[in-house]
Amino acid sequence: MQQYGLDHLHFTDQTGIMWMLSRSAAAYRTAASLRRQLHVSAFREKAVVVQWGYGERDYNVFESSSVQTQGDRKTLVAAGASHRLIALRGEDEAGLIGAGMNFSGQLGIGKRDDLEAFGAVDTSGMNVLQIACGREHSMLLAQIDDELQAAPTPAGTSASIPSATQETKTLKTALFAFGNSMYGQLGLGASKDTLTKMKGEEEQVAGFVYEPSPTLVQLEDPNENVLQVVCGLDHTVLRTDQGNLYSMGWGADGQLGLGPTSSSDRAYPTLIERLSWSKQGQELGSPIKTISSSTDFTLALLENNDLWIWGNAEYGQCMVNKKIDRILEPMHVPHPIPQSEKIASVAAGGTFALLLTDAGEVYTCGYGALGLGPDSTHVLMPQKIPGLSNIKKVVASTDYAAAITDTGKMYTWGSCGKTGRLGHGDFGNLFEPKRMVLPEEKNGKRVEFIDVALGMDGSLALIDVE
Amino acid sequence: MAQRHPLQITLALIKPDLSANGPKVLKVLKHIEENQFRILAHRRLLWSKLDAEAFYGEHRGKFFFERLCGYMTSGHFHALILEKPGAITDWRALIGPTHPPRARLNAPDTLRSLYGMTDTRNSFHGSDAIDTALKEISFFFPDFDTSGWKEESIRAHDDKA
Repeated sequence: MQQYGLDHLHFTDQTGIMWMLSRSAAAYRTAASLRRQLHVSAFREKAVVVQWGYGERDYNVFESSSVQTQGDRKTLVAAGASHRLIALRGEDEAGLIGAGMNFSGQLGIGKRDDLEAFGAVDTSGMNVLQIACGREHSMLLAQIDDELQAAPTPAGTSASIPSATQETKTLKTALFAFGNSMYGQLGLGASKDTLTKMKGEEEQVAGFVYEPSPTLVQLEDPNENVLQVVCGLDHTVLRTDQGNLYSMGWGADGQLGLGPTSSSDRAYPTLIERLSWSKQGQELGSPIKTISSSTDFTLALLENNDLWIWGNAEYGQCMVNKKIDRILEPMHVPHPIPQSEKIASVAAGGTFALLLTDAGEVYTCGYGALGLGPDSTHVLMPQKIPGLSNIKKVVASTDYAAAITDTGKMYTWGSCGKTGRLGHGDFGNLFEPKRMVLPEEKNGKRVEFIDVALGMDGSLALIDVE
Repeated sequence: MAQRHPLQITLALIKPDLSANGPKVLKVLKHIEENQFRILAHRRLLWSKLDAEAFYGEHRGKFFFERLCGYMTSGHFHALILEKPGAITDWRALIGPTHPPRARLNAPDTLRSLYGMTDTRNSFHGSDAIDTALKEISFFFPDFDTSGWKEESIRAHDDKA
């Protein structure tokens, strides 16, 4: 990322130290204790990123002059198994701040660490569109200012995609990957399978594959742009402006969706033919609206409301009234909720799936503390979660979930694993959604949740405080 | 107590997903010692595909064989020989049910509930019987004298009796 002119990035920690991240190849500083870095003693009256879980009962607050909750330059948050990222996108400063485990270089700071680390990557000159974290890998999608006109679609392919993608057609993006790539989840061509040496015949040898600096992921067609990136624990799925999906990483449970006989890993972005415009064309019926993945399966929602799934569904997350160990190729899911309800969005957890309806209600399917009460921990068809209404966003992680209402109230539920990740200051499981109340709200201030990222050990949320 | 639970050794693995998190591994090692296990040997390894297939050879052909080998070659991991009266069942009780998401609801204090991720990434292994423990220990620690240890164990047991 160093090719984009480096400005500087600064923020203040609890102890009042201003950290300057300035012009250098690595552009980072590390601290012995992450906790000390992210703590501040009290909320201030402005937008902040709040963190909870990670084995603690308290909320930790991160703030910077750059944190913005509104508008085009909104701050972004992402959380992996034991690392988390904050993308700050201010006018004068822009950076990707990383904290937590950096064993595989998943913080992108140019090196790896055996213990917890803290650092930042300068992203000045980039408009970061999205960040995503897998178990030990990270993805950053950025818009790149490109004066060149995008090359026209080759004649004869008639691959003009209906409305949905047209407005983004001119968007030129770059995808950067960093962290663990043992399975090839970075899409940079290397994985443990590519470590071979000749011992009479070619033989795979043990080795550690990782990339500690954000590195450009390339698709075969340089004019094809990634619009969305989602990470499972050990795989990555991309959605492009050509209406295509690509996947890379671990494929043993069908996470890559590459076909009925394919369960091998891939180290390059590989076309998911069954659900891609370039292979299926009009037969697909409609462009893909969004995709979601957090663990070992992926959901795709088409503009026409069609729902598709692939990967691990051994808990019946597939919403077809049965468990399926592995779905190796994207499978169409017949509308699994009442016909009167339209699916607005989807969220793929680990042992369960969430569907958000146009009416702002939430359905869940699979196993766990599902939000359906302590006596209903396994359902094979989606059930409506009582007590959730006017929801505008749902987020799912391996075994817990969050829903944000249209007025910025946030509910969480699921299993806690004694991490504190449900955000209520305790370590108990929650079988029903519970509204998260931050200390500031108890003090009479209005708190609005804008976005949330759920990791394995804890979470980050972007909030507005008045 | 020694009469009811003869001194045993078992093989414990701290699998790759957990081994990638050093601070958690330290917590687990502490937990092991707090539960009166003695760590007789400890190795950190990184497997090739062939290594994994050799260890899990008996599962070849089962649908989970590929993902099990894929997982166990996905990073460094730890192998330990644990010693304690009743070590085999005690260690398996400490790590808990096979599936971490289920453990988090049904056995929240077990290691798999606290540190496991998914059914495949279940973070721990423990030998299931005396003969498999010896076999698995020999696999990971070829220099460890399992027959000598056994004699020693019997002698110690007799002395106490």
